[in-house]
Amino acid sequence: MQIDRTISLLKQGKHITEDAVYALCLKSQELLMTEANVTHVDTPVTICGDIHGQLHDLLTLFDKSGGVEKTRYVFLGDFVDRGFYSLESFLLLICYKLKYPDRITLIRGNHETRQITKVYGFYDEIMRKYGNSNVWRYCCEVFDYLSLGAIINNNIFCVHGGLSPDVNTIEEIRAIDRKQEVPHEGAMCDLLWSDPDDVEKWSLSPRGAGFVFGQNEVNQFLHTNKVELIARAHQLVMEGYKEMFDGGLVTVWSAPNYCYRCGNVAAVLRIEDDLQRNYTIFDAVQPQDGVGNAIIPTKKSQMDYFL
Amino acid sequence: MERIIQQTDSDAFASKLCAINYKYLPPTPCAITGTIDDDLQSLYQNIATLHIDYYHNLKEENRNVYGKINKLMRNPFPVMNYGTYLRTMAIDSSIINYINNELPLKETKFQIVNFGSGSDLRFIQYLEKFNKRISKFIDLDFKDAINLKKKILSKSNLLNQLVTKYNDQFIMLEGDLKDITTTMKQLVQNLDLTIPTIFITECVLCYMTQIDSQNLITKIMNNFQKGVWVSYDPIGGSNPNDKFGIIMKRNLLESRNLDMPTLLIYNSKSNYPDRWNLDNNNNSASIDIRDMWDFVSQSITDKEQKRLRSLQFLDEIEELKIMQSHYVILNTAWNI
Ligand SMILES: C[S@@+](CC[C@H](N)C(=O)[O-])C[C@H]1O[C@@H](n2cnc3c(N)ncnc32)[C@H](O)[C@@H]1O
Ligand SMILES: [Mn+2]
Repeated sequence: MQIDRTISLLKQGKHITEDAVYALCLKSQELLMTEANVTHVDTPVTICGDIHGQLHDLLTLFDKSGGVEKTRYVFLGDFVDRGFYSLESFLLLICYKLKYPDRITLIRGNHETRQITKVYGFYDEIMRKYGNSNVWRYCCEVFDYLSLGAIINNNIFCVHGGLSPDVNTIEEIRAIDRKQEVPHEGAMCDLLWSDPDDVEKWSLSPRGAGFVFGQNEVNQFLHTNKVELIARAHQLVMEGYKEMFDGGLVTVWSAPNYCYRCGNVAAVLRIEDDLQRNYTIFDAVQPQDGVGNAIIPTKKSQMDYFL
Repeated sequence: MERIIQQTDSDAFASKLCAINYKYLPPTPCAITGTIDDDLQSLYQNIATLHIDYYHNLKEENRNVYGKINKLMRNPFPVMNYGTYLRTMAIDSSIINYINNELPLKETKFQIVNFGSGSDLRFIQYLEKFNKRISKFIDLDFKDAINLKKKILSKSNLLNQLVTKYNDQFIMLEGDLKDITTTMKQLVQNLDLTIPTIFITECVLCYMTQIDSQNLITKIMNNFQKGVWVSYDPIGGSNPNDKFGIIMKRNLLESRNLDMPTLLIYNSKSNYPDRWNLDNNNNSASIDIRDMWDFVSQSITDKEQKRLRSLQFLDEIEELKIMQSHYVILNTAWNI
C-alpha cells in the first residue's frame, strides 16, 4: 500500500514528492471534513502536546507510549514550525490518521495557520525543500479542516490553547464554522491561543492573541459542561506537564529540548478506562556520535542564540 | 579559532539589522522607566539610517560577509528580535545612566572604549549625542575586523563624513584583547587614565578564557582611575536541572566549532561579577547585575512591551523567559 511506503520514507526523513503530498492532503481533507468540531474519543487514550517539527522526538514519543498499532492518541496541535522537520512530522501524523482513522485524533494548534507558519519556519522549510510553496499550500488546506477539540469519555475536554470568554458550553464550540484560516479574535481564535494563569478574571494575553483565564473560569467551564479535566498544550513546561487548579486543568508538552536548546523534558498523558492519569516523561533524541549531529541539519537557516 | 570568533560579529550585526527592519529598534518614546527616556530617543535617532547604509556598503566591500548577513536576516524569529532589542537597550541604558548619575556636570569629559566592537556603530550614536564631551571613543577588535570596518566606513559618503567630523575623537585600534600588555600600551597612548572611562564588552568576554578575561579586567580597573564596565554575555545557568548552558555549548561547538570557555564557569548572576570583585584598597566598586528577564520586567514600560509583542506574533513567552534569563547585563562602576 502507498501509505505504508510513505510512512517508511517519512520515518527515515526522506523526500516525499509533491504529487504524493498532494494526494495525501486531499485524502485527509476528505476524512477530516466528516469530523465534528469536537470529536468523541474513548479511553484508554494517550494525550500528546506540541510537536513542532521535531520528527525524531515524535518517533520517540510513539516508541515510549505503545505505538499507533496498539494505542489511541489525541494530538493537541502545533505539529509544525520551529523544528526542522515540520513537513515530515505533519505528514506522518496524517498518514497514521488515514491508516488508522479511529486510532488518532488531530486537533488544530495556533501554528496550523498560514500566517503563523510564514513567521515560524514551516513556510521556509517547504521553500527550502521544494523550491516553491505548493506543498505549504496543500498542508494549509488540511489545517483548515482539523478539529478544534475532543472530548474523552464525556469527561475530559481537549483543546490546544484553552477557554474563550465567548464560549460557555461545548455545544457552542460545535456550532463554530471551523473550515477557515484561524481568525484574529473570537471563539475559534481563543481556543487555540489562550493560556491559564493565576488570574481573577479574563485578562489580556501577553501573546498576540487569545486571553488568560484563571481558576474561576475553569471551574465554571468544568461545572457547566460536566467534565472533570481540561487537557491542553500550547505552553512550554520544563517538566513536560503541569496540573493546575486542583487538577482541573493540565498542560501537556511533548517537544523535548524545544527548539533544540531549551533543555526541557517532554510528556504524554495516558488516560485509563477509570480516568486515572499516567504521565510518561521522555527526553530528546541525543545527537549521534562521530557522524556529527544527524538531527539538526548542518545548514541551519537561522541564528538561535545571541552571539 | 580567531576567525571563528570574529565571524560572530556577522551574527550580532545581522540581529541588529533585523531588529531594525522589523521596527523593534528604535524604541518609541516612554519605552523605559526612569528619567533617561529622552536621552535614549536622541541616541537612537538615526540608528536605522546608519545601519542600513553600512549594510549596503558592506555589499560592495565584501560579498561573502554580506551574503552571510543577508541569509541570517531571512529567518527573523520574534524571540530573537525581542532579545536583540533588550540587549541593545540594556547596554545603552546602562551607559546613559552612568553618565547622568556619575557625570552630571555637562563640562565633565569622558572616554568610551568598545572592546570587540565588530561592526557596532555606537561610536557615531554617542559622538553625535555627546559631541565634545567625549574626548576619545575607541573601537578595538582584531586586525581583519578593523580593516573591514575602515573600508566600509570610507566607502560610504554618509559614514565617511561622520568619521571625518569626529576625526580627533574616534580611534580604531587593531589588537588582541588576550595580549594585555600591547592592549594596555595602545590604550595608554590614546587615552587619559585620569578621566572617567566607559568600557563596553557586548558578547566579547564569553569568547575569552577565564584567565584572559580576568587579566584584562584587572589591568583596566587598576590603571583607569574612574570608570564603569558595561558587559553583556550569556550565562550557562547554575541550577542543576538547568541544561541550557550545556546544550548551548554543545550546539555552538557542533554547528560552528565556536567555543565559549566560561559559559559554564560564570554561569549565574551571582558568579558572573566575580572578575570585577577586586580588593582594590583605594576604590569602591559598585556592581549591579541583572538578567535580561529582570531587565524587561523592571525597565521596559508596559506600553513598550505591548508594542514589541504586537510587531510579530510572539508565540512562546516561556521560551522567551528561558532565553532571556540566560543573558546578563553587568554594570561595575569604580571610584564613584
Ligand atoms: C559577537 S561579536 C560582538 C560585536 C559587538 N560588540 C556587538 O555586540 O555588536 C564579538 C566581537 O569580539 C571580537 N573579539 C573577540 N575576542 C577578541 C579578542 N581577543 N581581541 C579582539 N577582539 C575580539 C570579535 O572579533 C568580534 O568582532
Ligand atoms: Mn501553541
